[in-house]
Amino acid sequence: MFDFFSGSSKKKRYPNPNRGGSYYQQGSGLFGHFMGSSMSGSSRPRYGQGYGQGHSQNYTQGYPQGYQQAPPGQQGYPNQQPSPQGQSICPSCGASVPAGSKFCLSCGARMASASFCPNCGKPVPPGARFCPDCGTPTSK
Amino acid sequence: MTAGKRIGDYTVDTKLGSGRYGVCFLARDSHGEKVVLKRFRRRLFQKNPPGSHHEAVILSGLDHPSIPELLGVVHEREGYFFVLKYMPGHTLRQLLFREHHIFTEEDIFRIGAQLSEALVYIHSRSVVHGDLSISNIVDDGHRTGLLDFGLARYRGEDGAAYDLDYACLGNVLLYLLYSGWHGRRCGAWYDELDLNADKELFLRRLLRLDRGFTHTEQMRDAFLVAFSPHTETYTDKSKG
Repeated sequence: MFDFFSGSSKKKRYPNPNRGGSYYQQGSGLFGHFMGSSMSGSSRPRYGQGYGQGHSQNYTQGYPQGYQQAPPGQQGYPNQQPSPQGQSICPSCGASVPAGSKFCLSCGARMASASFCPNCGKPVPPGARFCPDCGTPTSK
Repeated sequence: MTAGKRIGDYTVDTKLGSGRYGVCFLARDSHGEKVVLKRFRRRLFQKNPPGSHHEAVILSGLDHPSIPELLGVVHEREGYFFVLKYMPGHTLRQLLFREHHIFTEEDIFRIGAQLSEALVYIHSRSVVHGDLSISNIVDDGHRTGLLDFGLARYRGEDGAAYDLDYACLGNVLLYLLYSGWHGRRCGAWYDELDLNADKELFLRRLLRLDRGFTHTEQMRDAFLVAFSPHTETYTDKSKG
């Protein structure tokens, strides 16, 4: 799995604590935007790259495979069932939806099953009686 | 994308800005209410499919006036969009470097207090923003908003830790403190700015130059003491 905070990029995300006016008063231009806004510099994708190229011809290509439309036979699945990974199934399109998301990330339908731990705030899989992270009961 | 374009139930007004994620548009819903349509770049998903939807889950679990609510997801031919509540104002980057706004002590206290409070809230929900910056903070003179949870993670996920948000908050505060500064550039902020001992120590702790904060409430309380405009006792470093 891609590690968003891995290795050198994690270090780059902490700002240099020893900068002065030559840095903080220079904010214009592309250089200032990238370096001032996020400190991650070259490790991040540059915006404006290629969005829309071939997009209109195959607009679902490249989106997360787990959120693609389900096969026709699974569409309209009546009940949201937790998958082994704690995801639920969109009742509208049948796609798997990560626990906690208020909306299906494939078709945008509102998910009634989204819930979060009242203690630690992390998402709780549909049907779970206890938070898998801190063990707090999910309902009174 | 042109003004008047329909995306789902929304009508596009204008482009608001762009970032690594893609492009944001100001739009209106069927009731005329302003919303933001955040259109993602296709290659972002191609590069990082599992991580691309942390933002949706994390925003789904947050409810705070300084944080944009996730209002919907639209997946159409024109692209893949998150629909977010519109937060009025300009980004701090725009205010600093386009409007050349000089932030007063009162401004800095108000903005810092609201950001600290927002961090107390998201950290209480185990969320690390991970990308707090002058480009991701909007202010309208009254309310400060915290945008772009694209790099947010739950604490412990991929090594995400609260002290990253502390350090980035320190960086933001330094931008604001430098907005009216015209001194001689001689190195680091602690050599250049005329700060009282409380402010300097607070910033040092945020930036990990001194012992760090163990709780976000502790950080917020220290900010309120150090940056209160009514307890100012400047030390003039030019005389030292």
